[in-house]
Amino acid sequence: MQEIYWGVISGTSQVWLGLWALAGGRRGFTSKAGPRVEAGASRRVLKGVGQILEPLALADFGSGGAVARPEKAIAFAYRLCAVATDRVGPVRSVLEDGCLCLRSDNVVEGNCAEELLQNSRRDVEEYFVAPPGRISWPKLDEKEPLSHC
Amino acid sequence: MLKGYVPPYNATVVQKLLDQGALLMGKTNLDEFAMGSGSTDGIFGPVKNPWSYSKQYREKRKQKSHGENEDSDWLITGGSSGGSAAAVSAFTCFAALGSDTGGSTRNPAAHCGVVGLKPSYGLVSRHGLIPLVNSMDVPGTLTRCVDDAATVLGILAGHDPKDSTTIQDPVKPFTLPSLTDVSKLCIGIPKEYLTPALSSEVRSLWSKAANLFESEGAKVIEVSLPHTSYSIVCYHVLCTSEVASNMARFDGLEYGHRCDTDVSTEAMYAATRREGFNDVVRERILSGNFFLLKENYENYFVKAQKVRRLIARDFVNVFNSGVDVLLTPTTLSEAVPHTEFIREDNRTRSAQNDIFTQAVNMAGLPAVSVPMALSSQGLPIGLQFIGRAFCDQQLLTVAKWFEKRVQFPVIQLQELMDDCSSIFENEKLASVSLK
Repeated sequence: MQEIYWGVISGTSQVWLGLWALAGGRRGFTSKAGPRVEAGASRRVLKGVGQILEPLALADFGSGGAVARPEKAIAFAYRLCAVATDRVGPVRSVLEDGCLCLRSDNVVEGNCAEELLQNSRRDVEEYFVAPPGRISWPKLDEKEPLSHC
Repeated sequence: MLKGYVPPYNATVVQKLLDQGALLMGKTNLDEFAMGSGSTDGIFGPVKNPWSYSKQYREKRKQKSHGENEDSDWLITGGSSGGSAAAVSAFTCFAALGSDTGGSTRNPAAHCGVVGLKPSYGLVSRHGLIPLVNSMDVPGTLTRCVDDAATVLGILAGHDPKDSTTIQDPVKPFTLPSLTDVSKLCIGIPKEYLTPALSSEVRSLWSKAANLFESEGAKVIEVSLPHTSYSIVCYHVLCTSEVASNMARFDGLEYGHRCDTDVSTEAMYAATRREGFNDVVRERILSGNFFLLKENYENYFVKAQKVRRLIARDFVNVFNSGVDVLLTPTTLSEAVPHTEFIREDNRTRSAQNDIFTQAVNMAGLPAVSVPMALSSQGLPIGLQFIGRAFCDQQLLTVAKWFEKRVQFPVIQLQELMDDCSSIFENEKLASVSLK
């Protein structure tokens, strides 16, 4: 199969579409990944931290199909290991070189308790109502299936 | 999760439009919480691409297949802002808002034959935009022509005290000049964007576009963005990590859906979120929480932040070398049928379809998708222009020049053609919005 590549013929200043050999494998978006995490390994990793993950996320893995996708996502992410990032700082914001200002801490709007409370399903005397908070969510291997409300 | 929720305030971008006299016609469909690249995973069902019903597409289909149900194989819009793109494409409205975190405005714009603009990060307020990735999200615009995109941007751009990530520099509404001389322009073609997965038709149009600029006197050069191959992985880690954090606010306590479970707070949160979020959202939350675990934080999240710097630096280096605007495909191919799209899961499709668009979000740059031509099947194909940070006006000026040269045809929908025959006399008109 012929593949197409892009090239600029020097001297003629023409951009043209040429032929690109398959030999040498793909380029462009294929990463030269480092060690790959096998699906089985990522499944073991995921299962191992599942007891921490679900309570932290307050989201569960649900059915068997839904477990497979986080595994693939984690295996996919492992490719980042291949990138050399020595002496490279993390980016927290692309505006890090500029000056961003916070507004002053003066209350200029609000007083909309009624509107806000209209969106809540349960409130008493303008307080949001929560169930008891000192009961931890059951562990993964002990919990009963969540009932569908 | 937000069933029945009535926002107690307007997003800044919405308020700005209302202040200018705009009429809000409605809210459009999308992938749930903007997670997806097809607009197929929303609670209201998938969005159908208006081009599925266009004369241009149907005539090509009739040539190939006979007697099939014309509606059975409708096409996706792309996503996640597919509803907005469809609305503009079908002449439902003058313009629509979308969001763009990894290409969610540009992707559906390309598939629906409209102009999709992602402004520079920091130019347009995110106040009121449900956050997905705080450091990448940008409100996007969908319009039928570049001039309209400039009009809307002129209204939306500018500092917002309610969003501290907007820059302080004053921005005024502007009119795009009609560029005639491109001899001082330098267009960059990133070589790493030439991937085997790119369809031959998109590849051909990309080449044709480059030749168009060069034939009119512009300098067109091949450039390199060396870390391109790691971009989608980097985006995936950062996106899921920030999603894990941003979705934590949806617990049913103060607003939105709430389960009946009253056993405990945690049980209530978990059941509410299980019912309120679809599988796609929950998968990203779980993956993101994995990357944010103490044992993984440095190796995944911080690592991805470092790779992000390398990716952003690639763009800076290219622009510092004299390139004004980059020209790339927006999507791998034209819009595909829904039945074909759903054969792969959301994460796989997003990784495939965000390939040309997400790096722009990581660098915070402005980018616009402009429809160029119809494919052999009569479907739109768009190309992407990427500009320097906060050079949105220059970017749109170049895009307008290109739009005028390619004369993308108007969609021919039977109902529209019956009602507006006088407007469609000139079939090559890109926008009939303000004329």
